[in-house]
Amino acid sequence: MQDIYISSKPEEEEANHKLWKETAEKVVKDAGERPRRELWGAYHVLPHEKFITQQQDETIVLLLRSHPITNIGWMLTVIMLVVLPFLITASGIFPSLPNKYLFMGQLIWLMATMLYGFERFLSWYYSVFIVTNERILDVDFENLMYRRITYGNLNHIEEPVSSARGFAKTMFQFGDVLVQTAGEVSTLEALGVPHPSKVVDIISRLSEELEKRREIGQ
Amino acid sequence: MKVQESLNVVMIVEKLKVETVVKGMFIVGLLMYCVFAMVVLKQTSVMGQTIEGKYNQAIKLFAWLHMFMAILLVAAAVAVL
Repeated sequence: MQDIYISSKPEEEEANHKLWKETAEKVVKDAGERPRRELWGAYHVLPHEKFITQQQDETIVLLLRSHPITNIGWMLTVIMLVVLPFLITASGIFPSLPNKYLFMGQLIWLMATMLYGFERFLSWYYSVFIVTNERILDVDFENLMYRRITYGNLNHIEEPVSSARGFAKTMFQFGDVLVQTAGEVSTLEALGVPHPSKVVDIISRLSEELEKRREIGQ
Repeated sequence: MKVQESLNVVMIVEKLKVETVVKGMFIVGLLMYCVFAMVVLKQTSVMGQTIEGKYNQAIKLFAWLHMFMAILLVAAAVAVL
């Protein structure tokens, strides 16, 4: 009986992985980049991290998070919320309230503040935009109850666009990257990521490289 | 004198009732918070599997610490209030 499907041998897979790794390194080099991790992991070129559905021959080229400066808002809120109960107690607004209730109220308030800060941090840390040699992944950790993972193949993308509008974005060199796809999900977004024009450059080069290799049948 | 004493007893009983209700509300609220802390724990575990990051272990540890503190808070509410 004729074989319908013959799985590739481990040596072939290894060679394929090596080839793609070299290609990714070449693309990164051509874009004027080098393997590096900066801004507390917000801009990571050729990282060693892995993600859940990563295939054997898939190499992560870019791992991006929002610029750390975007966290300033919630950090200031947390500081204010930590100070607030002590200010209220010192002002003596609740003179008739027994101390045990004040104490428990403060503890609960501080725990809730800690939870808020932790949730905001998780939202930043786990909302990542990953560019591999084959596809783009947009992981959105909106809050503790909702997360969304969107995929887009590099050979299905239209021209990616970057934008950096406003004082902070220009000053700290971060902005948005929008990638139009031909799939069901029309746009993949990386909001507030560092060096958006570099990201667009690398995505375009990877897409071209994938196209070239497809044409020569690799 | 007897009327005054009776009134005092009624007031103490009323106060105790209010305190019991407030304590009960605190404990129920904190138990709900514990459930939420468990959700946090589960989510950090799931996200840790989604992306293998450098700080996954530290985040998991913090989530456990938060869970432990939430349980301690329930115990504190039972003991202090």
